[in-house]
Amino acid sequence: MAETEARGPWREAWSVFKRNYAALVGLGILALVLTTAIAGPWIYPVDPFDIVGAPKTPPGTDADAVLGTDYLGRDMLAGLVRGGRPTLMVGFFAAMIATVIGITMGALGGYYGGKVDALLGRITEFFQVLPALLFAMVLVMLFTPSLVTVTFAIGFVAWTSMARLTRAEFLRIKQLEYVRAARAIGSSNGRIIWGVILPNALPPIIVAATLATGTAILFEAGLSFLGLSDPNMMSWGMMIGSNRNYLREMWWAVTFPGVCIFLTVLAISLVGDGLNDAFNPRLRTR
Amino acid sequence: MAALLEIENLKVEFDTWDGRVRVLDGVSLAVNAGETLGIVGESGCGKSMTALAIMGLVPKPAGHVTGGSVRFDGEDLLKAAESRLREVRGHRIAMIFQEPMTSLNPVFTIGDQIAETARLHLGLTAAQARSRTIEMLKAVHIPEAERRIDEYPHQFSGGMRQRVMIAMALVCEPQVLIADEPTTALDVTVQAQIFDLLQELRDTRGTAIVLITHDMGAIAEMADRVVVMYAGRKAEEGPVEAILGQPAHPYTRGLLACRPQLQLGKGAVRKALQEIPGVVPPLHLLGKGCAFAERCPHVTARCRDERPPETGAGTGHLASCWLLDTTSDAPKGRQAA
Repeated sequence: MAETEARGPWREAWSVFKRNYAALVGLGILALVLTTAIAGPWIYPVDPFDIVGAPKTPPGTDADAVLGTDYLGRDMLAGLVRGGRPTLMVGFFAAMIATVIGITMGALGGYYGGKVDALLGRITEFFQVLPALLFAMVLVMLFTPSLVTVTFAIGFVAWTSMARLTRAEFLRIKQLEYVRAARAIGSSNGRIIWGVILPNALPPIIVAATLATGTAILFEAGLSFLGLSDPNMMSWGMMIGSNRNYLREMWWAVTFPGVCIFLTVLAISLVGDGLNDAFNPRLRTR
Repeated sequence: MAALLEIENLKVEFDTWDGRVRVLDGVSLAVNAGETLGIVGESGCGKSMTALAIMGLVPKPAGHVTGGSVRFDGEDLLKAAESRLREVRGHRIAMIFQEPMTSLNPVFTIGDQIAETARLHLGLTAAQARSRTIEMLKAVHIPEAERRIDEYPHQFSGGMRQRVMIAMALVCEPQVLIADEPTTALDVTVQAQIFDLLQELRDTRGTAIVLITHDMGAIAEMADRVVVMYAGRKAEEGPVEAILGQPAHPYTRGLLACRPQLQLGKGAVRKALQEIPGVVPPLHLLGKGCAFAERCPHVTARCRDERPPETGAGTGHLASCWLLDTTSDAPKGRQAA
């Protein structure tokens, strides 16, 4: 809602973002990855689970599988093309879940303070001290590994920093005059939290959410590497995981998906940094 | 006749590290429709707290209203439910703040913010609220209202923002407007414009204005009646002529003496600016006597031991000071003049 209504400040942020070349490169890579993930299966319609050639074919030796095959003879390129979609989906939705939980916990705690804040703060700390990857593994193992359970598991362990950030922003903004003014015109608490304070707290939250997407992708890769991923969905992490035993014989089977993950997360980080600069007028003079 | 807004014996306490402190101690005042009541006093004397208490916005959980009543149109707002208070705020009683630079939400256009109030209380549609907003922007003399309605707060100057705040406060035609130091952050020339505007709105709409300020000049220009506050208590109250002409309380006299005089040319002498010695005492250290005793030039033993009652009858000029003869009709300062 705020994005469309508050055209002015957002447009201003875009004009700063535009001048940041690293961020633009990141945005470009991200666009490429997204396009491949969405349109790839139509452009390169090879099933990544089909065995297309001899196992462990090095890249550039077989015209049917230009990037080679994995330990079972499955097409590497098909895996890379299809693997982006689950990876990005898990990353995006897990970050969204983490952001929604984090914003809710942080906003309510920061706004109401007192006992509410103490309670929500304790809950946040409880989740914060759990080893995140282990906790996510337990969650995935409790339920069957699937795209949905992996997404929720990652979202569930990754929201604490978002909650702390949102809480800090709310503590700062709720002291400001325009919040008092909003109260003085008779706005309800809900209206002040979601309609007045949150739009002003969004810039750092958006930056954090962007970076959280990168973290979630790494998490997904980590879980897949450990074998905790949807067995019916070829993802980059899963490719690394299933070929890890043959690392010394076939460098390509882990390197290509690894590079994909690396580039995607790097692109997201660059975009996040660009957004940070764009939203933070104090840093603009650098 | 009951006044439009009547505060009686209002007490507000705050929890601090030094224990519970009484920031408002038995404040009573009243405003009628079409009247401007000035509240003056030094920083921290409880002016703004009075305003917040009227609106039911005493900061929680530290603050507590512990006694008294705030009667608006016969209804005690201190006993009203929060939902009722939300209806009153912005609709019946509106408030403008000291800092026009920070009182507007930076991520929304000023039009959205003014229309928000109208839609909240008057149930207008978006289109109706917009035309009402343009009307209000014109009423507060913002040029090119049709264009500027879609601009953001940072595109406005301080004086213009304060006009926007006033438009926002008046969009629902409230019966009472509380102006908490509305011009403190503005240039002198802009101050005069804002005061003219407030006076115009009061005269055309019959709004009651509570003007909170520490500027005696603003009081002289705007107020019909004045309440002088000190350390959370009312020191003196009366018609503006009486307060400025024959101040009865030593604190009021001190405040008036503190003003720089603008007299130059023949016969003018530049005197050293007078001041009231000392500072407002920390509220938790107030004794049982008069709050002003420590700084008063006329202090007596009685002042330190007993709290002076409000004296003065008939004329509406009241002061709380032992120096005033309790048997006479009017405060002593008035006779002395």
